[in-house]
Amino acid sequence: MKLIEADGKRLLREIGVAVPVGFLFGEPATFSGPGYVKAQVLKGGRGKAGLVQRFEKPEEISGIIENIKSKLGTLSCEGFLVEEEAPHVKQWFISIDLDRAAGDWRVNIGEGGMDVATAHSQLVASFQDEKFGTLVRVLMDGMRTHRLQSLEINPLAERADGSFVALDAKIVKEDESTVSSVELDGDIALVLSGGGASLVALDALIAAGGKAANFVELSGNPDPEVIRQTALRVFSKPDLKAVWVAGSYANFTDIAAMLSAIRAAYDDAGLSIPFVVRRDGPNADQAQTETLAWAEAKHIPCLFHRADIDLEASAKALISLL
Amino acid sequence: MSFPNAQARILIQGMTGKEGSRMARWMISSGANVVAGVTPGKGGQEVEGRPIFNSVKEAPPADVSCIVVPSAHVLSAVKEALDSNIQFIHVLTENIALHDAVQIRRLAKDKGILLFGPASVGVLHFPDMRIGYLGGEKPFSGQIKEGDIALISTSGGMTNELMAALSRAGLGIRLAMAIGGGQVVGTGLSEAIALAEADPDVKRIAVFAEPGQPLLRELRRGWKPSKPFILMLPGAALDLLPRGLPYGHTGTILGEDEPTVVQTREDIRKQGVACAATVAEFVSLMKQTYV
Repeated sequence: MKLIEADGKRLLREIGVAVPVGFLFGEPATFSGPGYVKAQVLKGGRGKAGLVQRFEKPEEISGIIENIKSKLGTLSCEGFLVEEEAPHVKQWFISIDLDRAAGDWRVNIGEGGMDVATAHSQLVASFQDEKFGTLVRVLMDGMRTHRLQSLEINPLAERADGSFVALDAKIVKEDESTVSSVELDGDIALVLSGGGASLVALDALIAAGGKAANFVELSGNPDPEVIRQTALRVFSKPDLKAVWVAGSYANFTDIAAMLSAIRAAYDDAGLSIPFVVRRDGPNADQAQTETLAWAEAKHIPCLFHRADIDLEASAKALISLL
Repeated sequence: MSFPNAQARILIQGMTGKEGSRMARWMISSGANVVAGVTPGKGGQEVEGRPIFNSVKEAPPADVSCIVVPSAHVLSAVKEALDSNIQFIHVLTENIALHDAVQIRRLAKDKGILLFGPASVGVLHFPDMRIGYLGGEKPFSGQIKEGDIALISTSGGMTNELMAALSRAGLGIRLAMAIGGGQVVGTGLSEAIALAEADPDVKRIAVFAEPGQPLLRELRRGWKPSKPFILMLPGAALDLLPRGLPYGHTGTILGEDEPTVVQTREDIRKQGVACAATVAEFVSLMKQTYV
């Protein structure tokens, strides 16, 4: 999750990095110029787009905000950060992010401003530098405490006494979980399982010519009530044409428990559309017997595919039912 | 650094929990030598006939530890295992803080041991070594065919799925590794490929990788494993979903400036690597490596 600059700077101040004196426009503050008004948008290149503007006297701030607003277009803006100018002698650039190939944190430092030339790029674990060593340690500790995925300060201003002040902050918090649910435009309700299989299944449905009503992924052995609630949300969308419960050949998911919760949600939603399952793994025999008996008793068109019918074949069978 | 053998002494850290006790049951019933469990504060209890100790230090010496503790405790559990000189660590627990995952990886590397996970369903080596859940309750009961393929996957479920699909087609597995789908894991795809390359009984290598994996960039640049190699890359469907967010696994992120999955497959094929989009295509490409 990306933080707006104002939130990023609040976080930097909290972990011990200096930032300019500033406030969000509308907050009570006493202020003397000169300084900058900065639109709080999650977009790079704000300076060039006129979304950051300088003022000499505080009286100019309201006018500048009106001017910036006229340049925002459709950008979502979470307020205006008003900051006092921070005198400095030099500008740098610093970022710390994950080097996935190395599986470790990487720090990049260069002379800053609009056109950045990177001077250092190395793993944090082996980073040693008289000038930047302490700052990198402070930033890294803060990143761990606040579960940050990446951090970029550009410009990082160096004051005459050699200390640093962060003039901007692009901070991304770690996504602590995956996106579990997205609504889409189609008419086939999906309850997918497995981090990898959910992608394979969605690919298969599209290849078979189906249109997904949603992307929902449930992994491992979630609580049956969580499964039921999630499925009910999926099944409550109007004008659905079919349900597809699809996943991999599970290693340790209790398939019978999962199907029982999904059937309960289908009943609660009052559906009668085709119900197609493609699951295998622990207790899949029981899941299959129970699901087929349930469908027969309720006259629900139903297919229950096991591992010998792959996800692509199951998706095709589902489409041919429609 | 090597895989344990079937006689390896195994500890399960977190064995008194729901997942831990099931893992103990399944591993014991598939022939694994589980010697004890560790749960702080529960020393003296028994699970599946095996004694529980308060710490790894108090437990009998072991070669392998399976870690099934809650995510906030995984880092300290790994440290404990390393302090007791355990040579192979498997972390089942998922949703571990990224900073912890980086530190776990670093600690294992510094010690020079093999560590799989976080969020690894397990590893399996025919004829009789299985750590974790990979392959289900009875992995060596004949459903998964023995052979010469090493299957490496970011997804535990897809490892099992592809082992089943290959077996149905008459193709057999030697080694399977579900490495975990996070952004940082103890053994990454490239490292797992190196293990497969070093195994004399492995004659071909198959990888299931999701968008965002650094290996894909290497393959696009022309890098290739030294043994016959098939890649399965799913995720054309990501075109329907907003970019820059994780789907399915926390490591499955298609960045805003990265090529589409369809383009990536094309780029990789141009480098002479067989790349499948579906399970059926994957099996068929693998079959072709035998002719």
